Amino acid sequence: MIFSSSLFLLYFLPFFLIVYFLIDRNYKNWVLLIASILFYAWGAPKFVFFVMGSVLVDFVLIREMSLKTGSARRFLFWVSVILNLALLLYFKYMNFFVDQFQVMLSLFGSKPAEWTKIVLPVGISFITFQKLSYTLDVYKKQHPVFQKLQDYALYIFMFPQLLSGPIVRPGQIASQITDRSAQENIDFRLTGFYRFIIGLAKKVLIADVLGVTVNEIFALTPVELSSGMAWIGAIAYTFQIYFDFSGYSDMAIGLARMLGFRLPENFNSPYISQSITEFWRRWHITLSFWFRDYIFLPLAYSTSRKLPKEHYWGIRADKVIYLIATTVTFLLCGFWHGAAWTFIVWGAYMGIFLIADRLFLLKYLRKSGKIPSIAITFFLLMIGWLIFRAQTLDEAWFLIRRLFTFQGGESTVWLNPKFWTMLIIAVIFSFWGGFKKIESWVEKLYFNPGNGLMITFSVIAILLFILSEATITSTGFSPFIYFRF
Amino acid sequence: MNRIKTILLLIILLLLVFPSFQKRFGLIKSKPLSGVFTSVSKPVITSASWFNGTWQDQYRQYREDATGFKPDFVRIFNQVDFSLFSIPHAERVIVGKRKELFASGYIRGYLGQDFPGKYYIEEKVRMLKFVQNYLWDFKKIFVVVVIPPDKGSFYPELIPDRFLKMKRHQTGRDYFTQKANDAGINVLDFNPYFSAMKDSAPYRLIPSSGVHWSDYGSFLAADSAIRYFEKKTGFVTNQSHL
Repeated sequence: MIFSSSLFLLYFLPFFLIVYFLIDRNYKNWVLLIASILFYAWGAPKFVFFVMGSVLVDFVLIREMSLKTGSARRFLFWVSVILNLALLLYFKYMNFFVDQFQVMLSLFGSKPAEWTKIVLPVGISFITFQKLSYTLDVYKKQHPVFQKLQDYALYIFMFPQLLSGPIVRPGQIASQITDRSAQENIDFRLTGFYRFIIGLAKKVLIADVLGVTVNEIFALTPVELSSGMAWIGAIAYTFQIYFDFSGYSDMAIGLARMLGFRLPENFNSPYISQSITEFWRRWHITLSFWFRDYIFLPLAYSTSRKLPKEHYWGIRADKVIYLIATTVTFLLCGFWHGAAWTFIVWGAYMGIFLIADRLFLLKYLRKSGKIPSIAITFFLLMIGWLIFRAQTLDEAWFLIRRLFTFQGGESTVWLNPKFWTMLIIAVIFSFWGGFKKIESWVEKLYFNPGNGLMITFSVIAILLFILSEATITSTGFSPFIYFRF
Repeated sequence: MNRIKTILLLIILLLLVFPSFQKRFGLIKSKPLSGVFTSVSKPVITSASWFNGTWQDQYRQYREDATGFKPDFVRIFNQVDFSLFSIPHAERVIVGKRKELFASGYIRGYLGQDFPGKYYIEEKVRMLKFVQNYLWDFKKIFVVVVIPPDKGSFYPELIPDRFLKMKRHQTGRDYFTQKANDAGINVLDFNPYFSAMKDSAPYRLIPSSGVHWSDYGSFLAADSAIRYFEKKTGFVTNQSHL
């Protein structure tokens, strides 16, 4: 079930909210847990049992681990990590590995082996990372174990953030699961609704409109696709993916807020970044921090212990360590996004610019000034998104080349006024974070709106809801881009 | 103030549940959509259809199809797109300048994109000539080919620029008319006649939101057709003329 569907908006959500608001505080978590399991079972009717089973096993394993010390503790830690990664590897990556194996077989002239493709369960990457967070945080004694199974199950299953994040750490939500009475008030519910509607409008009224034209452009044949059209497609996709994913995150944060939870922010005007390094502090923040804390930093630390010299190949040891840790982290980050070479190359592409930032690029970007560095970063990101979107590396290479061959085409795509309007709106909303006054106004709206603002925004939110629902009813099903991950 | 906020929240919740109550109880009369639809029937759940996900997909479609106020939501969407962005959501309709509606076929015809080929048209003309002669010679039946005005040729200046930028080729109608006239086929082409009256007619000959001639235009065409028939055959129809 997706948030931007009539089934969710007009049936699941209102009836769930009515029950949740009316029921006694002691039973709220149960209502939320049951609704969340139903919500997940709707889209993954078989896999839900795997997740429920692994939640139970994890809960027992980690509780045992927390009581142990030394090698027994380490053993239980690795059992939990391996179990979680095994699920992810099997369901998400097995098709990819088998495909690569088939290619190898064909190189040696062997017949391909028979293999039934595994269907990717929705949200598996997010669920696994959240579970690993718990295992790692308890192992490192950064967080105590959940005392009740239902609390841990709710941490994993809570439907607002279940399918595409934000990836929540136990420390960010555990206390709210046990007691959030201070946040269960009318202000949280109303501002949560506003946030949800803003996310819905970002997805339905902006991202989906851009997506229609983007799909048409990238479906053009090489003869039809002009360089100009390729630029428009690339720019529009850059905004489409941002509004699609940040729209989902807004909806998740808004829904959780209506229920009295405060989830971590996932986006912070990423396209005003002045470098790729800054971009990763503003884009999919919870994932970036996850990789930083659980992959990059431990890897950098363990590498530093293995590199005792001050210089390697004329490069300072700290830079070599950064290079190794960044490369591994971003290759994994790319692979996390999808089991395809395009994602691995996209991750490597991002990693290269992070390393370049560290070595020399950041210095030049700072010298060039704010606006040029934003423009250069945006351009680099746009190229990256072309790799990300392409089905194959050949297609990605073709699209990138077509941007710079400056050739005409026989395009039949109509760039209608709605597309241009939404593109302009997307540009304005993407870059207005660069203006401090507007940023503080948005913060006020989300977190501390005055009475007048609340009434005004209720009217705007209702209008946006009607427009969004009218669009959903008329145009049908449109899943989120990040649901594939 | 908390009271106002509570009322706001209640209004929002009511707004969310209202469509499902509307569907269940029909609280407000909603004008149904016109056109042809295939309704989605309520799917029957089985353990197999639940576990392979087909029931969920069918049920989602059923619920979306049966959303309360669906006609009103569709009308809002269509009206916003038409009024703000000149996007039509009717099959094969294109919005021209000044919101003039065109059927896409007539624009293709005006641009000569549907030209079927000279040989094809010449064959048709040859067969028509045979039919015309045969019916007149043996049955005394008068045959006339009537070509109604097409909106693309009538209002070429209102065709959207994205089409006018395209190269215009020889049109099927021009080639057919030329060959039919050469062959002596009776052709009554209303395009030049309507174009000549375009600015002087007291009423619109082709309506703004239609793709065919108006009632007024059709009466004029009928009157002209009768005059043409009388002139060609010498037969008086006793019809009063406009």
